[in-house]
Amino acid sequence: MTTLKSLLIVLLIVLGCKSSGLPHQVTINRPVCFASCRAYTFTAHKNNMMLQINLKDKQFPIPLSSEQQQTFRTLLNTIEFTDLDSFYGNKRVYDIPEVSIQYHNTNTIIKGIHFAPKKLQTLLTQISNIVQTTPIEKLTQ
Amino acid sequence: MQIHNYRKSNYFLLFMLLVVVASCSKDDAPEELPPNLAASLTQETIASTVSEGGFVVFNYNLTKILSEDLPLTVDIDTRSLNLPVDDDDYKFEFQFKGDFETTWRTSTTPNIFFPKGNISMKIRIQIVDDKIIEVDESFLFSIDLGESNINFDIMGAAQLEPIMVTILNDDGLNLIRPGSPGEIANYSVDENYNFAPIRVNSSFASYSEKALFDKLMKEGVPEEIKADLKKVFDSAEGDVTLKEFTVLADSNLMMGGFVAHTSDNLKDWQMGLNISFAYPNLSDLDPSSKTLTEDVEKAFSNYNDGAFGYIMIHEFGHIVSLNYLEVIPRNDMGELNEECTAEIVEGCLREGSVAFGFEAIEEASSNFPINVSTYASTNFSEDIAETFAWAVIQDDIPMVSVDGTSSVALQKMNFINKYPHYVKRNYRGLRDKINADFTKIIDPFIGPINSPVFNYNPESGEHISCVRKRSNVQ
Repeated sequence: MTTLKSLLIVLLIVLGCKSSGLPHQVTINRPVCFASCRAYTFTAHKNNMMLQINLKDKQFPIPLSSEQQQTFRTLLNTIEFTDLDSFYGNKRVYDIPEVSIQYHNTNTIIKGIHFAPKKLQTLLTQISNIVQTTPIEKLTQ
Repeated sequence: MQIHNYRKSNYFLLFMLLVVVASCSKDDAPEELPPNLAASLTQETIASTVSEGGFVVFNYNLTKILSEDLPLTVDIDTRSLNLPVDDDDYKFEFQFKGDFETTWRTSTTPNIFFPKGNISMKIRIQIVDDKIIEVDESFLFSIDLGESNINFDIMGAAQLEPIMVTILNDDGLNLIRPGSPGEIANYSVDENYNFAPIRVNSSFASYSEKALFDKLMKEGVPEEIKADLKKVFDSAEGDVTLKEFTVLADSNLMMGGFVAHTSDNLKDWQMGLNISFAYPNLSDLDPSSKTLTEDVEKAFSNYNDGAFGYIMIHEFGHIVSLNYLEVIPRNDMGELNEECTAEIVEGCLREGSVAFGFEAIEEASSNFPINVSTYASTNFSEDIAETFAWAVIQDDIPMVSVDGTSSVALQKMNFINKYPHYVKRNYRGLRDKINADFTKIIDPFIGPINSPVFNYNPESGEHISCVRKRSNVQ
């Protein structure tokens, strides 16, 4: 029984450590693109995260619901940021929307998110969906 | 005696024949059905798939044979589906028969009946075998009790679910391959501007994308788009060639277009354009609209409110600044043949190229604004393409002031406007050649972008003229 308890405690500690988020800050940045997509910056460190729309010279933070934060946290914990290549996409092609990712010592450029690893694609798509669908008037009030 | 026997046997045969005929006709006579107008109605499936050219068959069963024909009304619903069939994908004709019957009846109206004396019935619809590349499309088939069945007591009819029928496309399967998001089709383009599909991507995010896809597959790339592309590329007088054209249909407008070179000599190019910008009303399509076919046609009749032409010229701006006149191409091994001071993906920038001109302007002046648009500030290629597009579509381009106070952006536009390669080919003349009303392009921050005002001070809310001094603005 004592052994079982100890095991349970160890398991809880391990799980607790696992869910404490990213040890280094990740910054995902989408600059303006040649169409209607909004520029944004997303940062996450440990369990904290922030998403903001970049409009001209102003930034507008988007409040994230606890559900959205949990979704992002789960995705962030499963993406191996340190294993990312420095470039995904096709350098010959112009005007494909770009995303840059900085994590610890890793810098990644993604030109066309469908070239990125699957879980990263999911994360980027979900961030983009929030950024695109948030009414800007709501943020500027 | 023999004759007598012969007659006798003939009479016997005749008699036997009469017996047989009589017994047969007795069997074929309609059996008197016991009077019954009550039963439960069920269907055998809620989903069905069918290939083009085949029949989709629906089976219905009764718990008891009816003594009268049961009137039924059939319905085909395409309005509530994301990928509905077109009306010409199936024959509007309902064939039906009872399980004890061998001949199909045909109705060209939705009114049919469950034939009396049968415990089951089949209804079938012919699917048209066309040669058009489509997606797997669906419709909902349902039956209802006809209006004139007040004497019947039929249970279960109201509970019958519509049957989802999916028609499997069998055309162009060799061309259908997953593409990039928003990409609909990729075409090779010959010297006469004949477009032949070389890849088709049949997954869509919205009904408007499907409407575009159907239009493309039936009629090819719209003539007005081909005509504008031809005018744009003809203006280069053979310096560059459109070899591939990609139709993008991203209704979320996350992408305007793209370009890439298709040959190492930097003469042949691929251009992709989001034609959701060409037909803006497509984004407003409501798949459940009763006038959907007309809505689609109407959307396609409203070509080009300016944005599409601007995107086309921007992409062309990349091509005229990255072709072999501007860039020394790489060799077959992808290497540069000579020493290069300005290497880019395509090769080495030539001395005197537009890129060098822009660099010289930026070195000599820092008068705000530096770029014609925010997007132009992302990198030097976009700066050139954007400045090119703005220099083409502006109603007029103010001269650079002699005192050196003009903005860098205006200086770049003037440079483009006087660049010998471009003047010789009259690229600015494109604004009058292609079918685009540039006055309609409104940037939410700076207003109409064809006016000689092209930046905006978010602090003061004022439009900044491109001839203002840096000191006049923040």
